[in-house]
Amino acid sequence: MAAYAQTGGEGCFHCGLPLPATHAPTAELEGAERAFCCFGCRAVAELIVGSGSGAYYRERTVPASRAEDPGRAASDADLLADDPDLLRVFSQPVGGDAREALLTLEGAHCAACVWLIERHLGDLEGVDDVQASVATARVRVVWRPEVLPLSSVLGALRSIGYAARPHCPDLEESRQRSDRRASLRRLGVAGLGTMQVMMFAIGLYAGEASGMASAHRALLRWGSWLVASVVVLFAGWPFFAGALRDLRRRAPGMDVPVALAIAVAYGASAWSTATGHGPVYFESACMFTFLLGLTRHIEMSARHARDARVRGRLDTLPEVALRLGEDGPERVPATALGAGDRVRVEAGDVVPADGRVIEGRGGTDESLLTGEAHACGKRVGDCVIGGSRWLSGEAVLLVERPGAESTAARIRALLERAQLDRPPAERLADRIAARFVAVVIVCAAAVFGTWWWLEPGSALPVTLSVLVATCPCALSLATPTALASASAGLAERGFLIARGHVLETLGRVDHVVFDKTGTLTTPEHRVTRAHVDGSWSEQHALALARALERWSDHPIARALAARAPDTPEAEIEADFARRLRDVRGVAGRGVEARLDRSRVRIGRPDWVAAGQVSGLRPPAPDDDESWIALAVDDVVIAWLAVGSVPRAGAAALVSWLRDRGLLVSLSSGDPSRRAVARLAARLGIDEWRAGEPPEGKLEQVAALQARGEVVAVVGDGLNDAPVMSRADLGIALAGGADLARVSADAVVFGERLDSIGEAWRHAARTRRIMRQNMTWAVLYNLSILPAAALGWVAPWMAALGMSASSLIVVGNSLRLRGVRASRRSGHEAAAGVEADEPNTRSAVWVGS
Amino acid sequence: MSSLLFLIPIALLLLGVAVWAFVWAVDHRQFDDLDEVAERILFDDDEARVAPRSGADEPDEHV
Repeated sequence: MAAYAQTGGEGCFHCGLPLPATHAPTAELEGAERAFCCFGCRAVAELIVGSGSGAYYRERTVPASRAEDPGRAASDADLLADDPDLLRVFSQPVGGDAREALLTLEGAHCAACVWLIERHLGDLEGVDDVQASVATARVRVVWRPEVLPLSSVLGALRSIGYAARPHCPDLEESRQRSDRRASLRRLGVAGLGTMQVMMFAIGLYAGEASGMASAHRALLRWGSWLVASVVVLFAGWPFFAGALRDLRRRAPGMDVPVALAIAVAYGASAWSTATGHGPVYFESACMFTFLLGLTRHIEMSARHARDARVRGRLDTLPEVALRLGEDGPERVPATALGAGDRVRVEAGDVVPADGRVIEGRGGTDESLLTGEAHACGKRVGDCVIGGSRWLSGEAVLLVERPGAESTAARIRALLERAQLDRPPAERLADRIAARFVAVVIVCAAAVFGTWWWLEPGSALPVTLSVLVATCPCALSLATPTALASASAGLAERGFLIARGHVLETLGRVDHVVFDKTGTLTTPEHRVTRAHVDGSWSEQHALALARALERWSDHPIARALAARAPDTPEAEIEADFARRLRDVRGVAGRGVEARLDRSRVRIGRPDWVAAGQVSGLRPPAPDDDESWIALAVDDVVIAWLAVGSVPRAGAAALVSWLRDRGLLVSLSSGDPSRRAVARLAARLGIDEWRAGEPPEGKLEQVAALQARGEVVAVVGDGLNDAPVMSRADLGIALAGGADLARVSADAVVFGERLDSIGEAWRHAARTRRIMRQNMTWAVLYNLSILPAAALGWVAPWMAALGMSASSLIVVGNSLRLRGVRASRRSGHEAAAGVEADEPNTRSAVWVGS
Repeated sequence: MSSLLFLIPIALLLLGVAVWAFVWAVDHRQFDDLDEVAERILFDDDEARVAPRSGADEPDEHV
């Protein structure tokens, strides 16, 4: 376990974020001076170390999430957790006055967190049992509400830096859990029973060799029969049920030969035991049941883990909301919210529904949806996605889409549809497997007939071997397991597959058509160019501009305000901000203030330089940018161009696609040819079109397809919807708002385009692994068939071989998930990190 | 060889006990999370524990 490096001086001791430039809070912990990014983190760290849990910092592998100030009052949501009516919804009584509840946990990253949470909560009076899990982001707590209200448990969690809220039981989740337990019970019974039957079998073989009284032999056989009956009927029941279902649908799957083999082995042995003549194969029947159950269990666990991870990302809506009703604020269940309701959110709350800010401002963390962990600033008029976390400030939201219509719910529906939409490769594999089953059964019948004619004694064991050895389990598992783990891995990186064919189609695409605005460029404006008078440095001019625009809600102000908190300008800006007096916003024009003794203005050029224009001359205007001017005492000292800039990763993606031999073109609805041409040149796209209406794009794609090209369209939503459904593959960038109407095959979340390239690489890997799986399964089955038919393979050997082959396939598929770090660095090495990448990352991009 | 007459019932009885124990463990969540338990051994529990003992004063102080 590689502990997370504690570098000291570089970042916050608790969360690892950059320290503020000056006056970082510090504390002496375990004899060392530690610095923190905020008082919240310091308070949490002091509590953790003070309660003797300092080992957390030594053993953790991932830094903690930034903590809120634990000093703030218990939130309303916490207090609502004590409401007896709601308590009944999300908790169950477990004997005495104790109750059990599941909490959804945020901020837990590694085993050290689990240890810390269990230890801290376990020490509370009134908490009987705690079990935390990072994988499912849940804490199960058994507590006595009379002794300790649940709000105190939530408060205690917050005091050590984790946000938690009650979790309403999810039907699907509890169904999966009970499925897993049932499967494990079957597996355990099969395993223990198989061991016992094998011991009896050894006794029988030894007795066979050295001569044994028939009474003893009968005893051993009846003992085997008893145990094998339990194993076959209890542990093997799913195979019989599956085979019956297959036969009823007239689509023989792999359960048919499995059930047949188990039934034949068990039935023949039981007959021999009853009549006292003939061989018994109880041990083969048991072993086959056990090994096959093991394969199924591993496959099911992997599938459930994938679902849990996807669910963890989407199951984010809180249970309660603070609604501002006619007569003041009231706490209501989040499900009771309707469109048009007003709700209040405070720092640390989870936004209860999709909505729009109508009062106040703050920052949100939308990483649950986008996979990106930086704060997005929200002001009046901005959309907020339900399930995102409100990090700072306080605001009133107007609910637009509650509950089932929320973005999170829709993504969930999208994913459910994707799970139902079976990819062509999977359907093909199933058809092959069904044919294979028919062939296996015909072969088995032929083998039985031949051996019966030549040597009746061996007919049964040889037929059994054939049935077991050639069971096409590995064949049926080859594609679904690979596709499942691949889409789980991609979902975690913000690339959601909405249609089953995506991973296969990606490999065939030879032309990618990008939309411009909102796709290759950022949807929000940024500062693209700055012309600064010689007497000012660019850094100072920008810092002053930002200090002024802090007071404005205009979109252009937002272009300036977007910045990384740790740039050196931040300090200069803070200095300016302190010196500004009489700041006054002028609607539609800009902002005016006094800086020491001078009057400074920023905003529309005609207003800023009202009357006499002096200082810098305005540079040539541009189509896709607008100019704002910054003046000190009516002398313009800087011209700032504000416009859209390429998205992070756009150039890397384009060059990467071109290196792979794909054609890349840009098709924009933007009428400005110059703007489109410039973007195309910057990203290295040769083929571009400007001013294309949706019908034009549609024709373009149709023409490309007529040339025999497989076309992928990357767009950003509604206006691209028709062309995306026409293309062979439509990839939508989700702004979150119009997902439901987008007919995309895949949806990209987050600001960066990296995940598209990643999807390409992942698809290639997935196809490779699917091919490996199929090749292996087919080769194994074909090569074992003659050996089994000739009687060289004993039934137990066949059972072992078949299960090993399935396990190899499942294990191979599992390689497709959870290799995040290595692939990311691999990608950057492959794509070549371009020069503008770090700049766009820090959000203010100043080109020249 | 006549020992088989009682050895086999004993073996079956023990098997029954083992199956019962396993099923009990599954039903009591012993197998729900196999990953984090493996790392838990790395944490010492012998450090001084000065954690708040009473739940009542906890929220006043930290929440």
